[in-house]
Amino acid sequence: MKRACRIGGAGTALGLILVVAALGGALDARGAAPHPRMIAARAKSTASAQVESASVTISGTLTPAARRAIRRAHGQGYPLVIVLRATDRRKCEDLGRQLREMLRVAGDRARAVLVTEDSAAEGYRAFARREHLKATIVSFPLDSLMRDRPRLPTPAVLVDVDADGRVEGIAHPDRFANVRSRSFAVEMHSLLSGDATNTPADRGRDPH
Amino acid sequence: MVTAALAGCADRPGLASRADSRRDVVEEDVVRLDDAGQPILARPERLSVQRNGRLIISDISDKDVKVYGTDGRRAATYGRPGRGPGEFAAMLTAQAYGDSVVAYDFESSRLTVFSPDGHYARAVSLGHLPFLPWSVRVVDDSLFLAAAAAPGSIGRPLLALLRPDGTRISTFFDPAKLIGRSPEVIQQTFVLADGAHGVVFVGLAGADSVWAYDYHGKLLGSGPLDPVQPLPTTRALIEHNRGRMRRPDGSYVVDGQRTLFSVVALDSGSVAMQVCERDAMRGTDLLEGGTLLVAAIQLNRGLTMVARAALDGGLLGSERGGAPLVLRYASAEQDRYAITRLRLTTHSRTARR
Repeated sequence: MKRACRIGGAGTALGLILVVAALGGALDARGAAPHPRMIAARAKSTASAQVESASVTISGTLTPAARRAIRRAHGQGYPLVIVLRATDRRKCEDLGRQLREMLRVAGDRARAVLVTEDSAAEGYRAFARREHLKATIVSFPLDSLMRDRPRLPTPAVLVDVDADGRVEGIAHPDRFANVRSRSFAVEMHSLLSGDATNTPADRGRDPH
Repeated sequence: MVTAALAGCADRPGLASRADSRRDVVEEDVVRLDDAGQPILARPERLSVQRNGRLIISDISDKDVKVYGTDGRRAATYGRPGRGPGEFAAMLTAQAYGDSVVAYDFESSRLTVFSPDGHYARAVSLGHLPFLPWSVRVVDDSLFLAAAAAPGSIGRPLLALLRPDGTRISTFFDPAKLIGRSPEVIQQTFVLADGAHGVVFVGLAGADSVWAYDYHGKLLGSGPLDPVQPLPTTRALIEHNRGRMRRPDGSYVVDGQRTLFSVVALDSGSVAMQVCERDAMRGTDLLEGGTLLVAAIQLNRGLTMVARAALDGGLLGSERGGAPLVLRYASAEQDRYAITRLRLTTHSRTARR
């Protein structure tokens, strides 16, 4: 009963702002993986119109070193390349669902490789296991992944469209709280369904 | 299979003199889940049982509710991602509610009720509460328990008992003195609560105690979460590190520390809890197991631990009869699930040895 005396009484009211800050980003900025039940609890929603214009179309060529690393991990065939920086799994609450949905749409063709920075590989191995993502994890410096594109926006999904390492895909660099109405699976449907001659269905802005 | 009972407690005078309160934990297989070709359970959060025996599991990654028949086969999926009626942007929990299902969306502060046939029935806003609810538990067919996200609500009650229309019956539990005012501590501490049969149990992830209240907010008792292996408090860890969450080498003070992850109210004034080692780098998966602790309110003794056992899986709920239910991986690839019931039996000296 003594312990009960330790609670109760008035404390400082920090208010709603701190709730949103703590749930929405402070933990992420700090970097510690949150308690599992905190993961989905985030800040308030973003207007859907913003979501519609926030996708970035990616088109380019993998560097020879990146192609070698991916081929080593993946074997033959044209892989689906998921590119994630360390912070992506913390800032995107919808990432696991979106990637699962994308792999389902791609079906048997989806032999996925998840490329991330070396320091984040262990975290993404755990993330992929927990979120049931069948993907081989590859550590590779992301700034050297694509020719002429040192700052590839992420999270990104790229489809290897030919044997020369040319890739096309979509990135979602802007954070949207909780759920993203336009998913990788929807935006990349034509590429994922195997029609690699098409460009991504809905091109958005490309900052490069 | 008898797993354990109060290992290490035999020498405690209080417990030794009250041998009748101790319980052994027996695991019983209930069912293996079969998703029948549909997307499998991604991130299960809560497991409950409807009156008709169907199993309800909230999936916070898919943002839906997966419904399984008594044979474990997927019978239905309620809700989907989105922001419309019956959709969820940030579904944090869902539970059986009689033969219906109730699910809570954090973004909209809204409870959604699905009818027994799975159709959207109605929504109840919880935006009027004095805190932003982070978790809502079904206490019984006429009561919900809402818990605040602790950080922003310090200095106010963090729990509210609600009627089905969302109106308040009582608010209680203010741990301000316990947690202190350090934002570093506050951001790593939050409420886990559940209620049943007249008692609300509450613990704090990041603290070392558990409390029991009646439905009017009167304290019935309290006690240490794990008297055998006391938990470190996040506050002490951070204060010891000069008020910082990270050590000079970049590691986190909470990494690897035993932390409360689940609280499930049982019958007869008892509560089951799960403690796991927190993995601050990769994230903690409740389903990978931990330690089960069962405590009960005892006259003039507060909350006393009556069982302690290793747990294979995640303590996610209880049967309507009160037995704790555990969801565990049923394959090395972690793509199959099984449900286990924990039966608490009278302590056997043979089992203890």
